Amino acid sequence: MQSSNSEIEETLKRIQSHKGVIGVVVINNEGIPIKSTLDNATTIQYAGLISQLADKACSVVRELDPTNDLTFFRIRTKKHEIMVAPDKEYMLIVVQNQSD
Amino acid sequence: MGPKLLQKRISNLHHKLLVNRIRAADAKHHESHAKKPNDRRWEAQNYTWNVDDDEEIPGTVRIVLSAADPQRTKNQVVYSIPDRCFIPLTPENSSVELFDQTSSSVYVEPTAASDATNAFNPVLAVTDQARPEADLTTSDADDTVSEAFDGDRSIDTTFGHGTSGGNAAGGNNTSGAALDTSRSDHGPMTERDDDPMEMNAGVKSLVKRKGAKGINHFSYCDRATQTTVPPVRSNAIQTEAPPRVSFTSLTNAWIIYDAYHQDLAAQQHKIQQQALINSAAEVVNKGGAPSTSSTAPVGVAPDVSVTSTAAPPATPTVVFQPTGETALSQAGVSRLDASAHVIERMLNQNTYDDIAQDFKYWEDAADEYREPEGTFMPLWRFTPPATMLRMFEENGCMRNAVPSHITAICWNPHYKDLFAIGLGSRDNMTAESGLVCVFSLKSPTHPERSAQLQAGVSSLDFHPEFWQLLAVGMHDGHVAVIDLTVRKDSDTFAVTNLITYRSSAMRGKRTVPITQINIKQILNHNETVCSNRNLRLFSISMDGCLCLWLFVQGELYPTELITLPFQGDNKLQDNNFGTLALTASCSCMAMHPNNSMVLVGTDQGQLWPVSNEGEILNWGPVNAHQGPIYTVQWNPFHHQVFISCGTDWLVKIWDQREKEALVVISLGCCVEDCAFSPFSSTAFACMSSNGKVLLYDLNICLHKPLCSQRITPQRRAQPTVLSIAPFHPVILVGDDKGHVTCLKLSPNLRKVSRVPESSRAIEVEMDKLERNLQYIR
Repeated sequence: MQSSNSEIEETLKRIQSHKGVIGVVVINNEGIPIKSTLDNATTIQYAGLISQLADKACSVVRELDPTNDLTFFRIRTKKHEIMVAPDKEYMLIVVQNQSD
Repeated sequence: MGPKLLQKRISNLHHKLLVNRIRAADAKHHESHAKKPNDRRWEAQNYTWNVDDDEEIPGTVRIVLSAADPQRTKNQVVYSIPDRCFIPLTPENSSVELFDQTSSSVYVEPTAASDATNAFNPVLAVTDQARPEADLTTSDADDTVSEAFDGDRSIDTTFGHGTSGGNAAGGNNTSGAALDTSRSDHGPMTERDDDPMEMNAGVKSLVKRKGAKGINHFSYCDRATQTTVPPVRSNAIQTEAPPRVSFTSLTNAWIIYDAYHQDLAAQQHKIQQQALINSAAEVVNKGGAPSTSSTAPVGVAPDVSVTSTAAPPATPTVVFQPTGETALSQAGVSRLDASAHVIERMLNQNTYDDIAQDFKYWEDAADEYREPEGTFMPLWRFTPPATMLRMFEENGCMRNAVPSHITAICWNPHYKDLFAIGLGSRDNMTAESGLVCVFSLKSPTHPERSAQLQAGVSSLDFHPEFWQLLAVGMHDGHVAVIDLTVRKDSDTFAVTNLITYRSSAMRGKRTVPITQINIKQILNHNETVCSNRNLRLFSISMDGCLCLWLFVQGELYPTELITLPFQGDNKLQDNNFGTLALTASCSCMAMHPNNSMVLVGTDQGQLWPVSNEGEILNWGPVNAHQGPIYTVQWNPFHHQVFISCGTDWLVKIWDQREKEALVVISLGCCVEDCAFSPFSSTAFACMSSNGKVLLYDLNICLHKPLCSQRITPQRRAQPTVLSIAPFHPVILVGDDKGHVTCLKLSPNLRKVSRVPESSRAIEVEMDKLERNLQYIR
């Protein structure tokens, strides 16, 4: 268990060290940020807005086919790309700068 | 009630008419004295009335009053179309109700006692009027009328009637009443009063006088008893109001689907538990009480279930235990880890998007103009994480930093983008730590798997069939097999990855560094010697020993096949160290493509073909190079041709049937590595120690490479290993600084010869190589 925790810590740290990564946010199922590399206000904003979007996206996927499930989605914007891994227990949000 | 009432009224009317008629008749009688009283007789319901002024209306006018409507049509029929016949129409009720009055008056049966009072009571008289027996009344009326006529003539008669029919008790009253009645009866006649009330009263009195009979008190007995009325009790119970909960929820197809899934899982879990209990009960029944019959004894079963239910909860541990910091379950953490890895790949995809596009799609258009020459295009650069190269602790003792020489590169036979690199030392074979990293082309920044080893890695090889097994040869004489599968325990979510099976000094290991290792692919499963499908490894070591390692149940058992003797400088042998026989120092080896033999290269420059059983084949040894041989490799298409390179600046291509090399190419400096191309039988790449990679094709030009390109800057890094990818048009070059560079071959460098329909590719390639070798011979 401890090794698993430290492993995930390491992975998240590595993700943060990737080129162009602005922030990594992990929120729990209640929408409370557990881990974040962004400042407080931005973290809360991301957590609130993305979890709404993830709920909507999940309901879209499941409405189309109840046996299906949402695993990932990424939002490409002019400035960033937001990668989201929703799960029933957590949500991992990574914001990366567009490389070009 | 309506028609009866009407009838009564009609009878009253009759009576009135009758009275008038009587009066008229009397007058006539007095006048004429001619007519007989018998003429005044009439029949019931037929009234004949002689109007007193006969002169004015001649003849007798007979007026008949009847309840039936003479105007009405009788026997009406209607034609019924469905029945096709006439059916009689049921006549409607023809009576017309003229007057109806509801009253609160109650009819009282006249008793003898109350007769007299009744006669004077107008209300009672009215109730008498409502007597239901219409015809009786009329007949009574008929009688009374006749009587009245008598009474009219003599009051005595009336009086006599009254006394005879009246009661003894009310005799005076009755007689008085009768007198009054007769008087009043007479009154209208004299006064010509038409008051019906008075008339009715008169009629009634007549009736009473005639036929009213009192009820016999002796023949009727009225008795009334009243039972006890049970007292009415009101009994009410109020229960406690049921608790009310307002519940709102949204449901849709997938929530229902999830609910069903959970339910199904719960049911299956229950069934499994039940099966477990049952099996435990059976075991106990069999072992503990053999005398009991097959039908489960009722008395024993509960005990068993108690003991067995205690056991299952121990096995599935608490799954959703929130951990203090992250408040995620273990399952959640492991999923988060997996998600993080995917996100990392996404990041890499974004970061190295252009390189990935080049890798897949970019073809150097300039190749068309400089044919047959081509170029290498550098793509990614793979570097093991710096944290893994530092000193690390193992089993309580610090290990030295990993030397940054890339000593081996091996492509995975199953995953086309996966390759393993081994780090060790090429110069200092006593390095105390090593590293194996498994990279994917998709994530150049971080290795998919990595394992730190206690000695420098000298060689790597993937198992061709069980592609997750990676064999590692190490500097300290150990051999290890690494299982790259990441196993996740579904109960505890414990992740066990990279199980390393190491050879043990107890069972025997080499005391000198192992230089190369090869997994022998078992093609013939019916082999008599080793019929089992255990993993078998060949290894060579610095002491010239060819070893066969058997991998049985996680243990490696070595078998020495042969120790190659020293051959070389005779002076060394003559100087001789007594009886001590010198051995060759093996540096490289190549497994024959059909697994029939192993070709071993030594530091003394010889090539030893050794069979699987450890016998030196008759065409060897071959004195190939002047110095140590670095690499030897068989041609992937032509199984009798192999290539070798060494420190004597030469690359040689051999045919095992020939004693001399067919092709000798001098690069002008040490040749670190060489390899045949998987695209063409005649193409091969070699790498010189000054950082150049050269690609030759015998089919095109023997003396000039198609491409010669400096990969690593001179003096800064020295290339060590070269590997051509079997599936992708890329080569990997490892250097002594721990970097692996991926280079893409331009189209000219990976031309695949056209294969006609009639023949197979491998035959075409063999023919091509054979033809080229023929020219050289």
